Amino acid sequence: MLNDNSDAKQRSLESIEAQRVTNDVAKYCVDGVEPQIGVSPISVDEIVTVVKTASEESLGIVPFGGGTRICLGNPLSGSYGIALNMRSMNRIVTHNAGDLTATVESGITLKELSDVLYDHGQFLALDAPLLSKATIGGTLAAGAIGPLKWQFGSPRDLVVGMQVVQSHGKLVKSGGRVVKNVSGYDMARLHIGGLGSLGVITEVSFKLSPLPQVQKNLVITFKQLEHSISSGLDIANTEIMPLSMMSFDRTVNHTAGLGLSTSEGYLAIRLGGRPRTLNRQLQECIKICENYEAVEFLELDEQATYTFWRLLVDYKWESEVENPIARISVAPDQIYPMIKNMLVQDKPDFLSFLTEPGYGSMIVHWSDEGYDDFEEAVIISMEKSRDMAVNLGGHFIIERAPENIKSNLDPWGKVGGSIEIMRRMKQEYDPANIFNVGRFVGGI
Amino acid sequence: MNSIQNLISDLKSVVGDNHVLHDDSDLIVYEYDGSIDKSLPRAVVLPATTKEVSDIVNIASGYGVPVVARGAGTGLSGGAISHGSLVIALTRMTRILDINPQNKVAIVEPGVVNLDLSHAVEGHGLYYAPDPSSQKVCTIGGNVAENSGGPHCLAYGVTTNHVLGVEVVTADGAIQWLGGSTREVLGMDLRGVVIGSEGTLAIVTKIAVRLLPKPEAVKTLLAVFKELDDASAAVSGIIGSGIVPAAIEMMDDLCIEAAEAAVHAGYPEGAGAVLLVEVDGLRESVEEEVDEVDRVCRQFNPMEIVTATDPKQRERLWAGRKGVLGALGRLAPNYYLVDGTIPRTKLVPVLAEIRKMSKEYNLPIANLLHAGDGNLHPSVLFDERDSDQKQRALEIGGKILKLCVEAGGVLSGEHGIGLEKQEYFSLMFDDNDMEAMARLKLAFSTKDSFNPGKIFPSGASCVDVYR
Repeated sequence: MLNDNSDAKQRSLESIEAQRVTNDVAKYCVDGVEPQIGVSPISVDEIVTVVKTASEESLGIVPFGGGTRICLGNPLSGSYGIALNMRSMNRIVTHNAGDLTATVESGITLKELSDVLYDHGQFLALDAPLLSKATIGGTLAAGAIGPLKWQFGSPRDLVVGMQVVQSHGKLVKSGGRVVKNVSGYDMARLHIGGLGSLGVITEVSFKLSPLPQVQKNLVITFKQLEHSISSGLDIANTEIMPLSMMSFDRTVNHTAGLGLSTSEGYLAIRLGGRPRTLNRQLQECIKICENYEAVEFLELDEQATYTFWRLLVDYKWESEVENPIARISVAPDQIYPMIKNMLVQDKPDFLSFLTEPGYGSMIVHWSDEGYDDFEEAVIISMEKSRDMAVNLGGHFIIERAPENIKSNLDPWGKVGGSIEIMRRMKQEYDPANIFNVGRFVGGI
Repeated sequence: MNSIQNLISDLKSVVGDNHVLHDDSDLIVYEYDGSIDKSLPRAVVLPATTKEVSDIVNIASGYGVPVVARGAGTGLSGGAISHGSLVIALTRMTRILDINPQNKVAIVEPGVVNLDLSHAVEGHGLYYAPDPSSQKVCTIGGNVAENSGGPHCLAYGVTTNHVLGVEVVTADGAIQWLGGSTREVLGMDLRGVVIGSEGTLAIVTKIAVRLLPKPEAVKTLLAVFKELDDASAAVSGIIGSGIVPAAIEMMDDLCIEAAEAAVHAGYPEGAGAVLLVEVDGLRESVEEEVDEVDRVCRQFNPMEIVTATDPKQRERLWAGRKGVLGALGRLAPNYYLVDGTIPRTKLVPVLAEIRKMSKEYNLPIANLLHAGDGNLHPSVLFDERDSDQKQRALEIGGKILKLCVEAGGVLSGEHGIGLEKQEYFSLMFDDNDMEAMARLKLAFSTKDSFNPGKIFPSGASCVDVYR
């Protein structure tokens, strides 16, 4: 079995300075379990050392970024020897502004990177929640996505190369640093959304986008939630192509403090481009929304824009009460039918929805206001929603939930026949079974 | 009966007598693809359904015969060269199974021709974005295998950015979907590793693709420069100005000479480089962005700039570019089309270096580029009948790839590694990298039963993982 604390620390980390190893591990708690030690490496070599020793000693490793998605996945089913704090690995390795590419260490936060890129008139279309805390590595591993994916695709479409430390400390790279590449297998795909099950992401190369010359942000209020989603779908089926589009309900407006007048449905649209085009896009969006009896149009100024989208994207991610959150992916035209079915037997305000019309994904929040047997009700509601999503050819992932709920309900759901290939991936790439043991799909 | 006859009779029992080819005269059509290599397959089988593909895989595995999946055979890196394997030609699986205009998704069989899909969805105001130059004949299945790009991938991305899910047959004959018809996948993105795996991991039998709304307006700008360096600098200027055009294509003087002779594109005398820039989107933005491209190009001493919005006129501007590969035949009996990508900021020095190589090896090189994403296609002109020339052409190819990697680029932008570049693979990847990639084959349980001997260098130490 496991070595005791001091033994493990000594063997694993003799080449790493004591100041980067800590016994103060409460902050690395994962579903109620604390590691033996926390290590904050400052170089890839140090990560290699840690992983090598952990492989030999069968010490489980949980890579830690900003900890914003540490709630994702099954509870650990194996040992938790080392929390690998990646925050010191936060350098920009290269930013080739002329080529619109950048290579960064995985511990850099989205905000740190975006500030540097902003100065060059560029951005990375990765706007996950809590961007001052969330790291590139953690965001990619968790498959955390934000509303910019509407126009720019999921993180999988942005990554052009990756370096990973795998079992026995093997440093492995794939892809490259240019925007178009089919040299060898696209290995990065296994790690994006792979919850660190196959190794530690250490370095990532991205393609970047130029900042739009001008932006316009419009928030439209509807009498019904359905109308906000239908308007969004109609806009998605034109050539308007917003940067982001999100619909949300009364509870979100109220709880996030967006300050919009009280109603049932809202649609937020972010448009970017050149001035003349933007005016036309704006007019067309308004026309479509008017078909659905929109009651109010609000154009946000620059200051309000930033705050508004942060409030919306970060909605409830930072709240002290860790209410359950799930992400549902189904065909775009099935989003509202699902919501309608989910709402049938439930109390108002028990559920709230943020959806991305046209993309086919939504975030669902459960709130416990006035609910006696809240957890039981959530489990029933989640089971029902998952069945619906699966029957529609989609899936339902619990992004965050108390342990009681997660122990009753698989956070991932059933993967299907390909789970066998995924299990063999785990055996091939993590034979010592040390990376985030048991937390990923099918208990991988 | 010997084992090959048994194999053939077993295959016939699955697909019928007419869909198994085994006479040399029939096989010869399947001995080559768009690359330099040739090799006769053991037999060719043409299934009509996924179930038949699965049965074939099981039969072949029973005989210990490896299989090579093949589409239209337009690949340029030798991916479909069979080396005596059983070829599964997917060209009978040509059905478009579903078109969902509201969700902008189509499900197709692998033998559907790329352009046929765009035509089929045209009525809904939609199209399928990846547009390899061979799109009139190449299949979507083959595009998935090679993760194909095309001139318009600059703004819209390559095949992998447009495929939502694939139904595959794995080496054990199992049939399953990787990904589906929704934008996100659950679990590991196995779909993403199968795309671009050159037929080595699984055989794709259905593909769910994303469709895009057809742009409202398209405008093409053609700028002619006296100096190649000016055209290269203009490309960097356009990218740097914050515009992402749908396409930025570039041709050098040799291409121009060939294209001019073949299609009379009307380029001015003394032209050293042609840039073709296409912008699409909303009417207003197209106008604004083409004006901006025009302004940038004028900073670099253009000889001439022409723009067009009318489809007929745009076609005329594209004629030279589209006809250039065929036209190269006027300059030499053969050409070796090299494919590599470099950072877009390195166009000037890398192209200068390629010109030096041309002089050093005394062989002309015509440079054709998807310049917007740094994807080079230098074409080395030679005569196959002169073995010394052929040898020199292949040597230049290797040197160009090395140059791309040294400039911070990669071995292939859109053609794949296949047979052509396997010996150069170690320029980019060390033993650890290759071992990790080889393990992917183990996880898919293919070892060498699907498209063996491709991608990895022959005799590479990564093969050690197959212990």
